Amino acid sequence: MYNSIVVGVDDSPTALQAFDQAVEFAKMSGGTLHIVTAYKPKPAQEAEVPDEFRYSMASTGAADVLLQRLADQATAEGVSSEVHAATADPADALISVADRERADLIVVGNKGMKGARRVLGSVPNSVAHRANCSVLILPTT
Amino acid sequence: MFQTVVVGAADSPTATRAFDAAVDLVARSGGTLHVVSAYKPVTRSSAAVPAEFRDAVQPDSRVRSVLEDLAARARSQGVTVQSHDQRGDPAQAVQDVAERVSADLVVIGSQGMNRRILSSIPNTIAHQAECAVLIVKTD
Repeated sequence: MYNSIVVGVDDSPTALQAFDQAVEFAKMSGGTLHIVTAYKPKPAQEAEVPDEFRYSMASTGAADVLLQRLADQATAEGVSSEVHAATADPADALISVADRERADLIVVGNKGMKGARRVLGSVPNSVAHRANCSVLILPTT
Repeated sequence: MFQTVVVGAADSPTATRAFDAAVDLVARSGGTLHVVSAYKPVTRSSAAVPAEFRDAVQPDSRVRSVLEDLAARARSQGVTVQSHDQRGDPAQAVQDVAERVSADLVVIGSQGMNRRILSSIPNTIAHQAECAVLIVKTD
């Protein structure tokens, strides 16, 4: 049904709840799950760090730990996965991974779809409007 | 996962693609598919039509035949189907049925999403639904 599924995660409880459901969906569908996390590097802090240590000062470490944990969780459920860490706006990161991996589905939590943030633009809203594939918005709020 | 799925029905290619995606999903999940069709009653023009032709222009019969065709297609895939024909705004009709049957998923076509039409049906449903929403890429 869906062969290439992209899911966006961070370490918030709502994102992890959406991830659990994405794993279940991928299990039912039988596709590969592409787990994407986006984070902002800290430029001010980075400027004071010698080049050779710059990577370890960004939040790459935390992102990698999270991605590895979630990939293990997918494997435990019998779902094949690939992980992607990106230093970009989360919606941009999801869409670019989806395009690159020829995803047929992007799964996101509905955080920010209702209330005041709706006006300012949330990740699920941006993804829903800009994706080149189908989008599954899961209720997590 | 997704035992109670609601999908909007219309006889356009975009709605058909969303419908097929919903059927495919329910065939796997083993749930029930609720097919909703909404229309605005044509009151003014039907009054000017002779009685014997009134059925041909009344949207009710057309809506029902579309619903029956779609339901038959879903049943041929082994899916349990319930049809709902509603009057009024399509986004509202889908949401009303979703609420009534306690849906866990609403499936809709993406038409109008990329042009950022604020009042588009998928946009309205995506923002207001209490359950999961699958926006099927159709444009």
